[in-house]
Amino acid sequence: MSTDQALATAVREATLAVPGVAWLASTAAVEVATYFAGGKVVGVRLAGDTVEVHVVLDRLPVPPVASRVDQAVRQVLAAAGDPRPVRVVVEDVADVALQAQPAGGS
Amino acid sequence: MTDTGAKVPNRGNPTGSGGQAGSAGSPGTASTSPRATGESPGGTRLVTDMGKTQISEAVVAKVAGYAAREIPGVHSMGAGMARRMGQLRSLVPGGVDASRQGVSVEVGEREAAIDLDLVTYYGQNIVDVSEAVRRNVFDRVQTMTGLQVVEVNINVDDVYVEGEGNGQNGGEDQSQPRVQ
Repeated sequence: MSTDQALATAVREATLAVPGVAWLASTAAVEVATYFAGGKVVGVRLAGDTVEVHVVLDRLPVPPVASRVDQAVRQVLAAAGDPRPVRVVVEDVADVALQAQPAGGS
Repeated sequence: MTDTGAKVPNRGNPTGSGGQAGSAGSPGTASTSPRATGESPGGTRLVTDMGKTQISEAVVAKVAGYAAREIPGVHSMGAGMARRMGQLRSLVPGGVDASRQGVSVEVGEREAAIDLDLVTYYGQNIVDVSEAVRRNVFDRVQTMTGLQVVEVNINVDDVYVEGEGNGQNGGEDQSQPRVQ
């Protein structure tokens, strides 16, 4: 219903659609989430001057995936008319990524 | 994480007024023409040529109370002793409605001001949570009652720590022996 809910969900979907993103997470002591009536989206923070997306990757190397996440989120924000900058935080790398050959990109 | 604290004070203002800036500015001008027609936003349709609609404080308080609780970061509502007494009182038949716990409102003909007392969870960004609460209360009260919400003041009264009864560190020492 609320715009925050819609935007956070859209950001989440777009981020998960990027190959190499395992899931969104908030592993820090302070939870990163967007709160709205009836629920929250963990790993997406819309409340600041910068939109934050916290991800766990399952593919190495990190930079290309991170920049694709950045692009995807930017697109969503642009579509919603939100001019804020994006910050992608890689919270963790899943074990799968380390087992696979880094160059192979499973 | 560290820059959150710095960002947040700036953030409080733009959203507090910014979220509703378009309509929040208008009631001042709207109230100069008391018998406004239904066109202007917020509250004006409550006072018409054919009569007034009056919404009691109880209604606004109830709506605001439920709206605040809809946000997952809100543990409970009410300040200190009143919160504990309220939990008792709500068990008594015919007692005070628990949904109004921690809510105080002022309601005029077309405007409402709301004060909330919240308890949040430890580990959450309190500013983010209260921002979400404020926005939801604004939305719900304005859409359900038609009153123009002038302000939503939030007083975070306490932080709920899980396992607080066992001590400050969540009682991990007691729950599991360190040596086996």
